[in-house]
Formats: sequence, structure tokens, C-alpha cells
Amino acid sequence: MTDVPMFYYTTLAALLFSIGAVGVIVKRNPILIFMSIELMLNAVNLSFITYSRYLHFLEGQVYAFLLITVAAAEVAVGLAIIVALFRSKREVDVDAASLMKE
Amino acid sequence: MEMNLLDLVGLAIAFPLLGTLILGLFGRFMPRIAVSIIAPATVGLSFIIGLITLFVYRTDSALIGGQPYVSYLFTWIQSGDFTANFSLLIDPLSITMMLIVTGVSFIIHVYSIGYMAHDKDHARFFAYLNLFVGAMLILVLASSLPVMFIGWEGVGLCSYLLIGFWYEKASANIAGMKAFVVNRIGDFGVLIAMFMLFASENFVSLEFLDINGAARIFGETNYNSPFIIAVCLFLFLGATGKSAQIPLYIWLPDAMEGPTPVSALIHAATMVTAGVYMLARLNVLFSIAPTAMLVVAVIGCATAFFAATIALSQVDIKRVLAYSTVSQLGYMFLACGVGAFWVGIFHLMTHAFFKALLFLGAGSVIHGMSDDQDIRNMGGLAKRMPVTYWTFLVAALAIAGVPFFSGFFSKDEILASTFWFGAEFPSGKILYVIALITAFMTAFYMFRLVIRTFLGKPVTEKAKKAHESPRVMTIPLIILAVLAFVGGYVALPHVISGPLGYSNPLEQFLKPAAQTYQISEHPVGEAYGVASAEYVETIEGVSVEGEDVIHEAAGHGEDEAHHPADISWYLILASIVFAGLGIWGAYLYFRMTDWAKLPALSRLIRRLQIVNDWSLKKWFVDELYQYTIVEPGKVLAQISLIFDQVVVDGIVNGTAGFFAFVGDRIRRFQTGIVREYALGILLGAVSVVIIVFITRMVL
Repeated sequence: MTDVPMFYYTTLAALLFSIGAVGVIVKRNPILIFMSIELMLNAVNLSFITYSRYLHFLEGQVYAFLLITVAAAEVAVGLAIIVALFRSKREVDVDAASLMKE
Repeated sequence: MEMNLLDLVGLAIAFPLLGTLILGLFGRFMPRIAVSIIAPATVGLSFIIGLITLFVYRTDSALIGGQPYVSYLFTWIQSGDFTANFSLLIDPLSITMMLIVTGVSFIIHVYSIGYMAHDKDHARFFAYLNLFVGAMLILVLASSLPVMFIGWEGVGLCSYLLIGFWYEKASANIAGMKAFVVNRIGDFGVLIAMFMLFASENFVSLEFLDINGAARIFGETNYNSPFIIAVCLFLFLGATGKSAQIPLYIWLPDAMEGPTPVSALIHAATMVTAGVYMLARLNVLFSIAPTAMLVVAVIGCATAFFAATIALSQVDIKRVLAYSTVSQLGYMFLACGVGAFWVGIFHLMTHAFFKALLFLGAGSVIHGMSDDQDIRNMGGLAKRMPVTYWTFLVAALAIAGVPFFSGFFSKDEILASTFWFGAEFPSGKILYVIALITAFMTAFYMFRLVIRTFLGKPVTEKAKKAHESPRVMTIPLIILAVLAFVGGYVALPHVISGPLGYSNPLEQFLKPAAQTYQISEHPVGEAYGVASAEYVETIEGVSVEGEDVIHEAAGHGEDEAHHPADISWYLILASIVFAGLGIWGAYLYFRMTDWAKLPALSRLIRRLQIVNDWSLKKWFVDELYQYTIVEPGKVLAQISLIFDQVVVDGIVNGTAGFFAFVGDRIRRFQTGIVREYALGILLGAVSVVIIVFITRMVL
């Protein structure tokens, strides 16, 4: 078993999370935003697993499974919203869905 | 509780109120004749009950010497250790008042059938009239101040309703409101006095018997103390409002806007007598505050004089009578103020007869003149309205104080009481002199009225066409004329009744209930011990006024016996001379046609003209009140309005405006753009992390 330092994993997780966060903020296409959110969730998953492995806590892995489930459900709901949005607006742009503002 | 026939007295109040209920609710659907029967019948029944009460009271052996009887009806207020029972007090004073009120009211009710025969709203009129009588009966029969206050407010309400009866007339509405507002000022005084008595530890309850009983004890140690004076003056403020004395008399002349029977009812039998009655009822309380008594006497005397000067020149027949009422009420207060409470009630009674007669006579004249009230348009009505003329003349002779008529005896008794008061209290002689001059003026203005209205030649076409009123109106006039003549014989002056061996029934009847309470010279004597023992019983609910007899017997002896007969005769002579001078003066002045023959007199009269003008304008008192009270009141109202709009509304609207502003600013965060929310979430998360790190490092 090669010794990969924990630091590498956590750095990777942080990078993935940041990329995902930037993606959520700058993208206007909801599908791309979703992909960015998935990226952030998986970054979190990665850090859970890392800490679980290195600190010998099984709870981290339990949380990882929970997160995967939640993410799947969230995608299902999210995609349904996107389809509904597309049906009413004939486009998929999150800035266009701002009728509640006024 | 054993039953007594005297408990019937509650029915006397119930009948008129029942009449109000029936006529008020169903009167509109009843035939005119039914209304005309029900309304007088209820008051007539009350009068009969009054007579029964008098008879039972006089024959009841347990109630000799003016013993009061309390008829308990129900408990009205029960709160903590305060109890107000709705119970009625039956004693000579209340029986006398009850008979005057119901008797005169009954006659006025009958008269109103004729007077209101053509009015479309006669059911409403009679409903109010009945309510008025009911309220007045509550007032005079109540056994405690709070219950009396119900009647007190009730007559105030009814006066407002009746003065403003013809509500299409703007002036009637204003007069009604004026009466109500001015009365409220007086009512405030009564309330304050009631609260003061309630708060005082020396007065355990607001029952009249307990107030007078407590005043006996309290007076021994606190004779003329500031507290008692203040209570009495506040009560007197209420009396000035109800009984139209300076400074609150201004509502009464305007009350002429109502139908004439209402004027008769307000001025003769009910309402205005309430103040005099209250003073007589609380005689002991007032007796231990001589300073307050002096104020009462001075105000009464001043009002009598002042109102008489105004009555001299008024041209509206009802206004002359209105100011004459104010003046006569002043006499009654003068009598009360000098300690002759029963004389005040005596004059109240004779005045009720002749003033009701005068007003009803005036109503008959107005009826005959097709609603013209200006005496300058009248003249020569004696031939056309003989019954009205002769009855009016009887009333005028009575009020002027001509011998053998009722007003002579009562007024003479007041003048004599004032004189003897002046004998003990030197500057009180001024009161006597003013009262005598007022008697002169009374005779003068009354005969000015008689001459201008009934004698001479008709001035206008209307006066030529005037006709006598129907029988339903003239018969009440005749009955009242008889009463106005004989009413005085129930109480002849001592110098006359003494030699005749004729006792003085009214005085004997009333005195125990209404006379000055003589404070004993030795506070810790036997009488005091008796009094306090009785008083303890009173507290425990057994209201007994036994100690009355002891004190009264002592007071009575020194009171009357010392008046020398020859001076009494001079006093009677003086009042006859002044009354005669007034009548003679009026005859001379108003029958005189050829002024040129008497140049000196005419010059004098021309000089008097300016006085006449001022008198006609009522000494500008209404204007004075307008500029000193009403106008500043309006300014205060304006200031309050501005304060309300700027400060009060400002606080409310400012609060709302502040939150609207803040909300508008916060709303801007909600752009509706999802990416901005996401940025917000991110920044929030980052700042949470940073805060956690910083706190970790600091700790």
C-alpha cells in the first residue's frame, strides 16, 4: 500500500469544490449548474472518505452513502424542474426565471 | 322585611315609565285619542299614589315627627364593601315634592292634549313627557345620591329631547344642546361631590340619611372645615346647572324653543326645582358649612336680582317668564342659603302653581295669536280671551306678591327669613334690601307683561283675530288659578296664624325633614353621646333619625319665638309696599301715552333707555361666555386638532413609513437571479468558516 499523503486528497477535494462553486455562480444554463453542483457534492464525498480512511472513523463512509442518495434524488427533482422550465419558457436560462422578483 | 302600604310608592315611578314604554314603542300605531288618554292617566295614577302615600304616612303611628321610611326595591350596585341600593326615601320632603311634581305635571299633560292636538308627533311628545315625570320622581324619591343621580341625568336627557322636540328647527336643536352641555357642567360638580363623600372615611355610605347622620357627627369636630365647604360647593355647582343660577342659568331662557307645555313642565314642576330639592335634602350637610351656605344665599340673591333686570325689557312673552323663573329660583336659593330650607320648598310649591299657570296661559295666548310670541304685537287680548286673561292675572298677582295670593306668603316668608338672617349677620342686610328691590322689579315686569298683552287696544291684525283656547286647555288654567290663589294658606306667617290659633301645617310637616341643623355648643355633651349611638345603628343598616328631635327641639325654641311681632308686621308691610309700587309703576309707565306732559320723566326715561337696551341684550352674558369660554374652547380644539394630526398621527404614520422604507431597501436583495443567490450562499458559507477559524484562534 503506497503512502499517498492525506494532504493530496484534501487538496483535490478543495479544488473540485471551488471549481464546482465557480461553475454554479458563472453558468446560466441550469444543466451546467447541476453538473457543477454534482462536482461540489462529490468533492465533499471525497473529503468524507478521506477523513474516514485516515482517521479510522466509519461514520464518514456512512455519510458518503447518504450524500450519494440525496444527490440522486436532488438530480431527479432538479431535472424535472428544468424540463418544466423549458416547457414554459422554450429556453433554459436561469436568469429568465425571475418573475417572482416584483 | 314586613310590607307596608308605603312600599306602593315605587309604582308612582313605574307608571310614567310604563307610559313611556308603551307610547314610545307603539304610540305611532295608536289612535290619537288612546295616546291622549294613556299619557295623562299614568301621571294621574302617580298623583293618586302620592295622595295615598301622604295619607298612610300621616296616619302611621310609627312615623310621627318626620320619621323617614325607606322602601327597599333591589340592590343596584354591589362591589366590595360598597353597596348602592335602589331604594326610595319617604319623608315629608319627598312626599311634598312628589305631590307637586305629579299634580302639576298631570295638569300640564291634560293641557298638552289641546296644545299638541295638531302636531303629527304627539305620541313621541307624550312619551318624552312621561319619561320626564318618571325621571323627576326618581330624583325626588331616591334614598341615596347615586340613585338620585339617575333621575338627575334623566331629567337632563329629557330636557334635551323636549327642548329640541321640533328637530327641524335649527334653533331648537342648538337650544337643546346648550341645555344639555350647561347641565353637564353642573353634573360634573355633583359627581365630584359624590366621589369626595365616598372617599371620605367619615361618610360610610351615600344614603341621604347616612350622609346627614354622618354630617351631624362630623360637624361637631369639623364645623365649617374646608372639606365640607368644598363638597357643598360642588353640590351647589350641580344645583346652579339644574336650577339655572349664576353662572349656569344661560340655558333656561333658550329652553323656550320647545313646545310651551314643556316650558311649563321644566320651569314649574320638574327639572329646575331639582337643585333646591337637593339642598333641602342635604340640609344637615349644608348646615355644617356656613361658608357654603353664605355662597348659596349670595348667588341666589344675585341671580334673583340680575334675572329680574333682564326680564324688565324682554319682548318675547316666554322669555319674560323664563327670566322670571330664574329670578324666582334665586329666591328659593336665597331661602335655603339663609337656612330656611322649608321656606325654599314652600316657595317652590307656590311657584310651581303660578309659574305653570303663567306658562300655560302664555301658551294659550300664543295659540290664540297663531304662534306669535312678541308682546309688542299683542294688546287688548282680555276681551278676546277672558279665561286666559283672568287666570293669567291671578298668577301675575301671585308672583308679584299681592296679599292673599299664594306668592305673597311664600315670598314674604323668604324676605322675613333673609331679614332675620341679616339681624344675626350684619352684612346680610344687603341681601334683604336686594331681595326687596327684586320684589319691586318682579311686580313691575309681570304687570308690564299683563298690560302689554291683555290691556289697551290690539296692535296688529293677529291680535284682533285672537280667539279663546279650547276647554281642554282652559280648564287646567282654572284649576291652576285656584291652586295659585289658595296654595299659600298652608303656611301663613306666624304673626297672622298665631293670633288666629291656626297652626302652620306645611311648616310643621316639612321642618323635621328640611331645616337648618343647629350645631350644639358642647360637642362632648349628652346629645353627642346619643347621636353617636344612633349613628352606629345607622351604619348597621337601621336608619333612624331619632336624635333629630333632640337637636331640633333646642334649635326651634330660640329660632322662632324671639322674633317680635311688630317687626314682622313691618316686614309684611314692606313687601306689600314694594309689590304695590311695582304694579303702580308698570301701570304708570305702560298706560302713559302722552309723554310730552311729563318732560322731566321722559328725559329720565330716555336716559334709562340705554339701561333698557343693555337689559334687552341680557347684559351681553351670552356674548361674554361666547368670547371667554366658547371661543377659547374652539382655539383649544384647533390646537388639539393640530397636535393630533402632527404628533399623534405623525408617530403612527412615521412607524409605518419607517418599516415601508426598510422593507423597500431589503427587497432589493431579492433580484430573482439564481446565480446571485448562489453567490450569497457561498459568501455566507465562507464567512461562517472564517468566523469559526477566527474564534478558534482567539480562544
